[in-house]
Amino acid sequence: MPDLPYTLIAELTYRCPLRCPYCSNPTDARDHGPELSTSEWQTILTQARELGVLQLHLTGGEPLARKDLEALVRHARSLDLYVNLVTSGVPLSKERLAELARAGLDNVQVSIQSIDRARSRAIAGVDVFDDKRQVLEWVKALGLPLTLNVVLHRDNLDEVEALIAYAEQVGADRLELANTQYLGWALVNREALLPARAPLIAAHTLASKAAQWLAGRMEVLFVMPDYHTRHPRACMDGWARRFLHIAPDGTALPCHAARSLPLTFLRAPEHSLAEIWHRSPAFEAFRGQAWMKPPCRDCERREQDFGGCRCQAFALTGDPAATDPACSLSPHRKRVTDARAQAGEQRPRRYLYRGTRGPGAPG
Amino acid sequence: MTIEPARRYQLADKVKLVFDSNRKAPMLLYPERGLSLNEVAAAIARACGQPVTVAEIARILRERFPEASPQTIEQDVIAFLQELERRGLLQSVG
Repeated sequence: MPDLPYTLIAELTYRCPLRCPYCSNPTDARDHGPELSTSEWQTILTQARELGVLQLHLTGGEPLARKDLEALVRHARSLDLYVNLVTSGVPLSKERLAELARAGLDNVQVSIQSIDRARSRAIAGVDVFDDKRQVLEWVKALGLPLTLNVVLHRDNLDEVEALIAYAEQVGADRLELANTQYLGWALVNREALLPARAPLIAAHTLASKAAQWLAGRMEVLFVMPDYHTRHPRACMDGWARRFLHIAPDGTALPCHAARSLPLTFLRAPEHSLAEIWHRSPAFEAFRGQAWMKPPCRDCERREQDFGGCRCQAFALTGDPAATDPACSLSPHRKRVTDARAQAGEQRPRRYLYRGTRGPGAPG
Repeated sequence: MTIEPARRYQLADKVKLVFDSNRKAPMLLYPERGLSLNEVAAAIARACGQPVTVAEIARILRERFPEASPQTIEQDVIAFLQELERRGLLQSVG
């Protein structure tokens, strides 16, 4: 019997006004089916709660693009889910945010790209710097708990100290300094995004110190990029163990990137979440240890990191059951160390922005 | 960080106490995470729904658990409040 899912990540839409080159949406997002209706999402939320889910992330794309967001928040609130809105903050009015707060938001997570306007525009691909600043003020004015999220990469890693000060200034309850995970768009843009080791270590040190002195006031989380660690990350706390992810068209996944894998994923709500979670072959595929190959199979860390990320293993080796090349024991480790060696080199680099034609498409 | 007897404490705004019927346990939910609570911890968390002192929480618990020694109760209250404070889940309201 698998564990019960604890968190539902509801990816309401792939639509987004921003074009960040590390977007976690699939690079072929446009090719997927139509978005679920309001009542289909409500069915999914109800089933998720019955299945054991307590935390709900409403995300995207940009979830504000859904006109029924308020209705979904109200429904989640009626189920006693902890409702976290994960947003770029664009486009939003103070009235709509107040309505969402009344509907039952428990936490708002706003992402920013940089504390510098020009850099922010260069990363997001659009000028939304002032809009975001405004949204942060509204969140606090409405008394909502605020998580500030920043995806880190070589073009903003030097801002960590300033970002911590900024987060304090805007009254964030939690600051997530999360290095880019090199999948999807971020893998396409890896050469432009992957930082060298020295600035990364410096940033990590600053964040660790800040986490100590701010303990009890503001939570500071720093996520290392696994390209620069010895062990792979315990991706999603293990395959289909704690997280259930629903894509805009209802496809149920163990994580946002999993639809890149050669597996057949079922759609909700036409298939119930209980069936998907407990009985679907794709969710069973990498649970437990039977699927593991050496060196994972005999590794003493196999219950800590679960062999790392399946999507990264597949993206870098072509085998979804391979040891994640982020692991120093992986026979494919060179794929990671080569990229890392190039990361220190200074050369002109340009982003391929999300929303431009997919990287594999002709013409 | 120390819990002071004269101060009043309350759960932070971001915290939500729910009963999880699947795991048959009260849970304290906050961004990204949750704490599964035992009966005593849940009683303390419930009392912290409004501003309270350690002594007031202890009094509520003594009624609820008459067989426990008052000293143990007070130690439990302080220890749990410290855990909450360490995680940023408790606010001091004067």
